Amino acid sequence: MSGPGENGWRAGRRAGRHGRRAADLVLALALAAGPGRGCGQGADPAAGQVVCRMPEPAEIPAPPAVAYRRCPLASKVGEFQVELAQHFTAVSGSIAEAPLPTDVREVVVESGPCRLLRRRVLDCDPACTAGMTCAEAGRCVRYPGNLDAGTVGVTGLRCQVQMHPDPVSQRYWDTNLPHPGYEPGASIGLHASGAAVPPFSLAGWGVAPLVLDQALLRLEPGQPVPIAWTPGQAGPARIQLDLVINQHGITPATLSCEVPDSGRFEVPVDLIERLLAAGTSGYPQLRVSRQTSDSADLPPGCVEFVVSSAVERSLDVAGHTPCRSDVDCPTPKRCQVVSQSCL
Amino acid sequence: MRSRAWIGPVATAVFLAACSEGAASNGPSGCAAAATLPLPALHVAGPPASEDFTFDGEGYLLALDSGRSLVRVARGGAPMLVAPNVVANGRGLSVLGTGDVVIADQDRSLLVRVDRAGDVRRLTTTIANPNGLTLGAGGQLFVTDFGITGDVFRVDPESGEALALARPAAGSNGLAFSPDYRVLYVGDHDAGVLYRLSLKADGRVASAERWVQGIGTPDGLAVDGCGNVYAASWDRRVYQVTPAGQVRILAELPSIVSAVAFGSGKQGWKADSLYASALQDGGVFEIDVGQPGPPPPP
Repeated sequence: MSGPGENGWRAGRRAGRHGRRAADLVLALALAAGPGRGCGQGADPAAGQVVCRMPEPAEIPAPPAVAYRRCPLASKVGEFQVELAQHFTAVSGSIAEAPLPTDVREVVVESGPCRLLRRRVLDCDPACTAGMTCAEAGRCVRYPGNLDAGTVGVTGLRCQVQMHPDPVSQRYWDTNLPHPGYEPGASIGLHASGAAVPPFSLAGWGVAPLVLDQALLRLEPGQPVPIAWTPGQAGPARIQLDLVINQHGITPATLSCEVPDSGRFEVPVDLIERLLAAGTSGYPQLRVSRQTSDSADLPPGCVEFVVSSAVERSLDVAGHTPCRSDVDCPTPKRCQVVSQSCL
Repeated sequence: MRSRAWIGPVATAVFLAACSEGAASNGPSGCAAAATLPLPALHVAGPPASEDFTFDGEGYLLALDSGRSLVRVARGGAPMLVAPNVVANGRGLSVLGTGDVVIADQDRSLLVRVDRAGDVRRLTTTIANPNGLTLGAGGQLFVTDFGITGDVFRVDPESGEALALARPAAGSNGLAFSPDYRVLYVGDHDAGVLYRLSLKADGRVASAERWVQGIGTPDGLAVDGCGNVYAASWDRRVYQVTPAGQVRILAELPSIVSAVAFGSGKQGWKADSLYASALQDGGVFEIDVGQPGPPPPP
C-alpha cells in the first residue's frame, strides 16, 4: 500500500565526495590523470547533467586477463557492482564486517557448472532484538555493520568515479554515470584506498548488454532446459543463470549455473528434477546475467567486483498449475494453498 | 453525492448512484460506486516489474528495479535511477512524511530507510520475512512478517523499534489503513481472507476480526477515500471490498498483479485512478475508479 509523501525526493543525482585523506588524494590524482573526468567534478546535480569525456577508441586498453573469481558463499562479506541495466548504469557497493547469516545459502547439490541453492530459514524465538539478526541454531548475533574501505575509484567507465562511503551506512554508490556507462570491452578497474580494510584493487571488463533469444522458457520434468542468448564478444565474461522458485520465500530454491558466454546452455535434466523436487510454487523466474567477477580476500572476508548486464524472464513450469482453490485445478488434482500449486 | 460518467472502452460501464451499502455511511459524501464491474484497465508501460510501488512527494511512481534498485517513473516515461542496490530482495515500499523511503528486504530480514540523498540505513533487523508495509498515524510503520510468524509489527521509523501487535494468519501480507487510520486491514495471501484490526490511540490493537474471504490470493492492499478496500491478487484480479464487506471483482487483468495504489495526481499519474503493478511483465494497470486515495496519515 502506498500513499504520496509530503515532501519530494531530491532530484536525483549525487556527485562523488572528494579528497579527505592523503591516501585519498593520491588516488584522486591517479584518477584525474586517466582518460575521463570524475563524474562529480563536471556534474551539475541540480540540472542532472554530467559532463565527461568519452575516451577515444585508442585509449581503451585491450581486454585484460580478468580471472573469473567468485567468493565462497560462506565467506563473502561484500560486493562492488557496475550494473548495466536497461535504463541506467550504476556503481555501488559495501563491505560488511562479517557474512550475513541469511545471505549464506545452503548448497543442496552441485553438478558441473550448476548448484542448487536453498535459502536457509533462520528462526529465532523470541525474535532478535534491535541490532541483532538470527543465525544458525536459533541464535541471535549482532547484525554485521559495514566497513569503511576509504576512497573507492572505478576507472574505465565513460565517467570515472570516485566514491567515499556514506558516513552512516558506509555504503558506496554513484548514479552520475551516463547510460550506457561504459564501452563494451572496456577495461574496468576498482581501487580502494583502504581504511578499516586494507587497500585492494580488482579488475572487471565492460560486458555487452545481454539479449535473451527466448520469450518463453518452460521447465518440464525429464527434459533439459535449453537457454539461448546472443553471445557476447570474446572476453572474460561468463553467463550466470539463476532459476528461482521462491514464491515469497516459501520454497526458496535457486538453481544457479555459471557457464561460458557461448550463446546456449542446457540445464541438465537431473538438476531440473532436483529443482522441481525442492518444491515448485508460485511464479518462477529466470535471471540471466552476463558478467565478470573478480574477488579479493580481505581480513573480514571475501569481496567481489562484478560488472554485469542482466535480463529477467518468467518461467513456465509444466505440471505446475498455479491455483488459489481446488476449482482452479484439473481433476483429480487439488490445490495446495500454501504453495499455490495443483498437486 | 456525486454521479460521474465513465469515458472508456466499455460503453456500458457507467458510474451511477451513491454507495449503496457501507461506503455512503462510512465515507465522505460524494462516494459513488460503479454499477457495472469489472472495470476496464489500461496497461501503462514504464515501471519495472516490482512487487510493490508507491509515489513520492513529487508525484513520481517509486518502484524497485530487479527487486534491488530504487527507481522513479513519470507516466509514459522510462525509469530513472534514484539509488542502486539498496536491498537484496525488496518487497513492500512506503514513503515517510520526510520523503524518505522505507523498503522491506525479504532476503536480509531488514527494513531499510533510504533518505532523499539516496543514503541507506538499517531500520530494524528483527522481522524474519518482512513483506507488506504501510504508514499509519504519527508516521509509524506497520509491517507483516509473511509466511514465518504472520505477525503484524509496528515499527518506529526513527529508532527502528519493532513491536509485534497481532498475528492474524501465517499468510499475513498486504496492509492498508482505513481513511481515518483507525482500522488496519491485513490480507492473508494464503487463504484469500481480509482481517480487520481496530487500533487504539497508542497504536496497539483493540480488536481483530476475520472480516471477509474470497479475495483470491491477495498481495498489496489500498483503500480509497470512501473506505473501499482494494486487493491486488495473484489470480489476475483486483478485488474491491466495500465498507459493508461486499466482495466484488474490480478488474480482470491479463497478468498477475501484486500491489495497488492510487495515483499521485502528478507526473501524469491520475489521482482518481487505481494502479496495479504487473508482477511478472512490468508496467502498471490503470483502473479509473473515480475516487482518490485517502488523505495522508495524521
